[in-house]
Amino acid sequence: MGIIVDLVLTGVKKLADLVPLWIASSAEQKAEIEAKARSLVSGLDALFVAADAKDDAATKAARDAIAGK
Amino acid sequence: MSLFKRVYLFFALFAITGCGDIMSSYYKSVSTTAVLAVTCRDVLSEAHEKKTAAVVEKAKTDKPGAEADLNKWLPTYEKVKTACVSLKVGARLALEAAPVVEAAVAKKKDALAWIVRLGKLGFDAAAALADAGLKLPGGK
Repeated sequence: MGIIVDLVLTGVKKLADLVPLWIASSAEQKAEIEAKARSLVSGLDALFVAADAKDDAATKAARDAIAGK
Repeated sequence: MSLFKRVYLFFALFAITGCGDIMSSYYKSVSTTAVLAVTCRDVLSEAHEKKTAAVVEKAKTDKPGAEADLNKWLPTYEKVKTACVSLKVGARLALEAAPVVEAAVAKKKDALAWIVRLGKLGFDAAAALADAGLKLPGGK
């Protein structure tokens, strides 16, 4: 448990909700682990597209400022 | 705790806790990779916002200097972005490969190979972030 506590306290907070799944073992929990993985992966593309759009806008703003626009 | 050690522990954790069922470990590694991909992209986007804002500010008084700063940052940005995308693609490919792994004769070997592969992507992303002077939230 020391490692888990350390990770939650000092690591990525988003991983905290995965800890119950990490220590799961029943059949229902295994299905939940798979469902969680599918849910997380299915949302990745949308998150990355949104981040790309935000970053592109910031880059454009910087280029415009350099060009004096 | 160093970034590399933390990433190593992420992957070691699910490997240890999931030793009873290899497919559970497999899906845990996919989940962890997906979370790392999102975190990697968030950290990069936040850094990009700060860098470009600084460029805009500098351009008010020093356009060549601002342009040099932007040109210096963008290759680093692209390098880290590639590492983040690799994590995302790795998680998706691993998820798509799950039925094949599940049905494989050497299921445990195949699943472990995927877990190691995903762990490598995590290490690569951590290295790219560290090279860029960035860190995962909570990192020292």
